[in-house]
Amino acid sequence: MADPRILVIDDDAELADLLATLLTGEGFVVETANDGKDGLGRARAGGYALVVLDVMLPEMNGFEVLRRLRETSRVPVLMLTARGEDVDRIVGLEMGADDYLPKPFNARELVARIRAIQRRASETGPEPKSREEIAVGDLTIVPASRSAKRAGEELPLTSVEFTLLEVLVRSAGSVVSREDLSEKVLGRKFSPFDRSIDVHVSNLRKKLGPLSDGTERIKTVRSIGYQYSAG
Amino acid sequence: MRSLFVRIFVTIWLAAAVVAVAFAWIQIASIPRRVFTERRTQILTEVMKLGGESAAERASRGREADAELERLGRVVESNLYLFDGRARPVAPSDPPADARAIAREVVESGRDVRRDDETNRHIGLLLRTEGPEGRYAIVGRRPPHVSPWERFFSADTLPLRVLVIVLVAGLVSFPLARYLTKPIQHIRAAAQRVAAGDLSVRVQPQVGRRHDEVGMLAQDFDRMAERLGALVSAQGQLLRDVSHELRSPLARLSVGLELARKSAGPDAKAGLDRMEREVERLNTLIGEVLAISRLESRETIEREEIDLGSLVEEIVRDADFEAQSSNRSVALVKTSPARMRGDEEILRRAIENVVRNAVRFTEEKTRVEVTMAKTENGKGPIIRIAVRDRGPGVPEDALENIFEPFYRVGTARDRKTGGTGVGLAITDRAVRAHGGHVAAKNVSGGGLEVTLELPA
Repeated sequence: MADPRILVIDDDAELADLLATLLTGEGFVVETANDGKDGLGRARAGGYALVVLDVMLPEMNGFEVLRRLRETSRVPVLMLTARGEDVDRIVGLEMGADDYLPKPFNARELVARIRAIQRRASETGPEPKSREEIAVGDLTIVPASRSAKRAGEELPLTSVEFTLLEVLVRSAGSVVSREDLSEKVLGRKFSPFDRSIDVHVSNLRKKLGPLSDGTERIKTVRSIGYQYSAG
Repeated sequence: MRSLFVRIFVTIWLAAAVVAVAFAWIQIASIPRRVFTERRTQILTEVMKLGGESAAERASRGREADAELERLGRVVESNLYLFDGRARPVAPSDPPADARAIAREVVESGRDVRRDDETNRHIGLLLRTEGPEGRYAIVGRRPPHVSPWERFFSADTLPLRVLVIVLVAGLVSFPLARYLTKPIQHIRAAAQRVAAGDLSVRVQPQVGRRHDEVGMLAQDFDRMAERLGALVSAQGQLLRDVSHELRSPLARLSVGLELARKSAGPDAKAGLDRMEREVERLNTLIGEVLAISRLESRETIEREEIDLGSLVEEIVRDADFEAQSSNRSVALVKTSPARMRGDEEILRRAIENVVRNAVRFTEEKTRVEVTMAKTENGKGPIIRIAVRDRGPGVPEDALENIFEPFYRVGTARDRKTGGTGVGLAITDRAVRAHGGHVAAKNVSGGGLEVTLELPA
């Protein structure tokens, strides 16, 4: 398998070059883009395993790039949000980013997150070749192709959303703790005050829609975690 | 009488009342003093003689004479009484005792009588008429001189006069006092808001385009507030720009550090670890400085419906999770369902900072207690969130300062516990942006209690 390609979109050319050096050393093929328009064009062209996207870009900012990218592509996106602008991190996830890291970030943490997203995206379920299908109610998920259907209709889930749904559906009817979700979905230990899982759940709920009786498919179990409705 | 309004009002009111009384006095005093001159007595005697004869004649023909006597009496400012030859009252039918006595004296002696007592002058005249009755007696009583003051204050119109003076003086002084003090109240209210940190207040729209001293004061006040606002925002902008600009080199530094780690030998590890920790500390600090300057420069906050009850519950749950690792705990000991409008992320951060701060300071194996209740504070319903730790507390004189950025109660201790010194300041700004209030107090039995009050 060829080395995965990563696109880094950051207007700080020096930082982009440093990141390229670092990530190349980690076994990735890195390309850089220094403005939103260029980055969006290249990300849309496809072929990347992951996009590292800075929020603060001149002219077209990171949110705009993400929004337009999501119209056509579900490539995993790691957002670099502006530290101190608290709302950014949530907004990024709400708009479909797979994960975020406030910038300035710890480089080792960045590599770890990229690896987690990578691992998840290349996952093809426990038995890669199987045509396993999991069905709960009108929802069917196919881990091998990482696709989900509701009443026969394909759901446009991002990579992280699919993994989250898969974990919840596999334990449908029982509660999955936020700690477990963090490790299985985000690939990192749960850290308190990190609400990434909650935001992803909320996005997933929006895409799934309610059950026929009007209640949420994914129930919040206070102080513990989430549960996919078995019925 | 502490209010300027009351002082001005009362002063002008009293002045107006005094002027009114003075005018009245001048008016009264200018009426010539009546004296019992011989000439006046002579005139009175003549009038009494002629008038009395005419009245007696009417009476002798059985006609009524009261009205005529009264009219005459008014002309000479005296009371006139007519008696018959045996000193029996003719007109009016009920003369006072002193007049009767004089009449008797006149009739008995057959002579005219003149007598002054301390208040009145009496003149009694014997009249002879052609009629069948023959003799009559007339008595004139002249009332004493009354001083203007006595007349002013004793007259039966006094209550009315006083009422008019009070009303008119009040009508003049109330609007005047209001006109003078109203703009001062506006300026004072604006000054209070400036003191509370709101530099956007302007008083000119309320005071209006006055060209007097008060108008100029308002103008100067606005200019001062504007300049102050510009200075503060320039300072905030500088801080923001510096922190902002520091982000890029720090991001590069962090990546460079990781690259160095890869090419460096094992001897460099300790040094690089140390550098990484310091970079991390700088990252956190810059994040907080940017967060607080953003809060301070923010004009309005986005408001959406928040379920504060579950927000606090989530924060307590996460804080407890975090605290367990250091052998401490956090518990929500009392709560009540509460909703409010506000920015959830900002409020989350505000409450989180207080709770995590409490966890940092509470003694090992103790519990941080969080309570939430709906209550009143005189201005309306509020939600009160109290966070109580079992730590060393804060010196009384520093209780207010802990909400200032970078204020350190004890230098060494704070470093050890890992705070940046900005957390509570962020809380304070965030809560104030929501129209709330933050306070801290030492609790008896040890520990600090931080209270957040938010309008429900």
